[in-house]
Amino acid sequence: MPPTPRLGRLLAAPPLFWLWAFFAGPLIYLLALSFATKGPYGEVEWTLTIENYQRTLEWIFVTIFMHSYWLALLTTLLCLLISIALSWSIATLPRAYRSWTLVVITVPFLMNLITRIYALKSVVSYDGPAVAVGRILFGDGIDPLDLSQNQFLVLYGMVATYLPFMLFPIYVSFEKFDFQQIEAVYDLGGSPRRALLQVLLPQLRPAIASGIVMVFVPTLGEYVIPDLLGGAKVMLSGNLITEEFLKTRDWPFGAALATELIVFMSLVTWIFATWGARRGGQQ
Amino acid sequence: MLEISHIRKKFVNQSLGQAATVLDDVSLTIESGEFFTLLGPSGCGKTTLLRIIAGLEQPTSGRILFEGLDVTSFPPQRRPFHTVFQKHALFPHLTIFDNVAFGLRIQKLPTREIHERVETALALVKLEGFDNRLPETLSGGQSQRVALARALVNRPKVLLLDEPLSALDLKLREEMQAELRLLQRQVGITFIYVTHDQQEAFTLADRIGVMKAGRFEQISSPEELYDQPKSLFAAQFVGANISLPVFGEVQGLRGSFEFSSCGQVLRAHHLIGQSEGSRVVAFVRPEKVSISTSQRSTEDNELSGSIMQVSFRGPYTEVLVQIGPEAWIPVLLDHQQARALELHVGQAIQVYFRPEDTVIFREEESD
Repeated sequence: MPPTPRLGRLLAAPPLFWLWAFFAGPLIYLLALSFATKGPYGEVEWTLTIENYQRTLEWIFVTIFMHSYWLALLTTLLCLLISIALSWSIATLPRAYRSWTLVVITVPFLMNLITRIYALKSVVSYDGPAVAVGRILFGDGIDPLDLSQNQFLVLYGMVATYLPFMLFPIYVSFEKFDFQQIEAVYDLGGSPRRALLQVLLPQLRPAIASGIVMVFVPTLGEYVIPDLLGGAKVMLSGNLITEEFLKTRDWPFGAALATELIVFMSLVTWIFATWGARRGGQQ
Repeated sequence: MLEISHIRKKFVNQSLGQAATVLDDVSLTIESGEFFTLLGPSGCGKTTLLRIIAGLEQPTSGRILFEGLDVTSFPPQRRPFHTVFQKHALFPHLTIFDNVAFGLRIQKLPTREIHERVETALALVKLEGFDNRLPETLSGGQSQRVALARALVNRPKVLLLDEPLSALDLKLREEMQAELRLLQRQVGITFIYVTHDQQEAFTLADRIGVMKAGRFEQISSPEELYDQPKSLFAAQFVGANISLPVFGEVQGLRGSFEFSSCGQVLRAHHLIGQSEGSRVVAFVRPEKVSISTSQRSTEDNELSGSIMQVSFRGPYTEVLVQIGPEAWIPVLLDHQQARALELHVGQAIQVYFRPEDTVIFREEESD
């Protein structure tokens, strides 16, 4: 029996209900919350104010957000470069090795995120091998806490965690890419640079766009990795929002911060989705 | 004039550490405006030779000269040759116009000239109005034409074609062959065409180079290749053929050669190959063979046998005649003749062919 429009609507009802009840609903509630005021005991007073948004413009919060954007940008960029290099080398491997290489890359990601991060922490912890090696090389002057919790570790943790989201779409594109096109460029008189910029990259663009969205958006809100690897030294937007909701119990202010973040993420997603969908022409 | 001089190419298999010789001292001169076809089975080195001419591959030794200029060390960008790739290698993200204009934009020609030349090239391959289409919307034959236009628009001195029609079905392939031949006469540039299809080579080429295991077996016109093959391989690779086993010694006798096959003494006017103690085969084209139900007195070679099978083959009837315990020959008859003879399986029959059409090949045992 061919699906009728009525049947289609019927089938769409449960997921639509789900989406409204558990996604759009809370989101609207969050938006409403962001215009409310925090009571003296952390309760919500339903006023209509833009005070929360004004507070987000205070320098300390702006700094935290800027820091988050910067880290997310850096993570995305590193993931992109690593993914292109890695996909290129895997795609040019003999077919028999390709799936094995992919398996080797995937296996760590099957492990729980917290477990994976603690494994890394055990390497850099104050009585771990990294510190021991540091002591041998540089003597006692080394501070074990500097090694076990720092900015670089946060970046490393982010890249290691989100790499597959960039790697897989790009790898799939590379696998489909006909490398004879590169020869065609040379044959038509073009340089390797031209082959890269005008032939290879435009064809990877949809994959790059979706990879950017899939890495940039979650890293922007990430709070577990900076918390565990950055210690108390790094405060990012994700941590800030968590603090406001769970510790300070200022839900309205937390909601305002979250709303701003969501708006920004949507903007990024929209920009890259459009960019990725555009057909590549020449100048 | 393109001179290919003593080209050798060895590929080293990294993991096995073995070197495979793909081209073994290949020399060839191709005249300007010639349609030259490299013909051979897969793995004979024909594509590698084409890639070396294109500059996409470097020879291990040897030189390529174009109009007297040594271009061996030139990268593909600097050679006035363009390639039509086997799988077309169109740029899928660019329109047909941009695909064809790709080489012209690299040369930084003025926009108007690019436009004119692209339109002319598209008209040449009968694809006017396809400018804004994407390659994925084209049929196999159409993308083939775009690949041709993309190469021709740059006005190459030599066009290199690597089995460009192999992805097309038979009917389209035959159409494209005719068009290619016409196009080559129209533009008047040198075509070097790689194929494993002997019919295609015959249709297209002014000259054919038959390759086997990295060497040329024969370089000649299609007619000469068919009528006077210089080796058993060349003879068997092109056209249908009948090989007769030769027993015992071949005797030279008054300008012809006598040999025995299937219990009869036969004569051949041609003997190719010299060495003693080698494989000997007698060879005749099926269309040179006739049959008769009764014995006739003649100077021609004669074999008696029985009919194994009569089969309808469209334009002709094929009669399979068993002439020995492990030997049979196919004979081609037109339908009328076949009907007149009232052939049936098991019938005793005489097979005739002239000594002039019979060639004996002596070849070293190989592979």
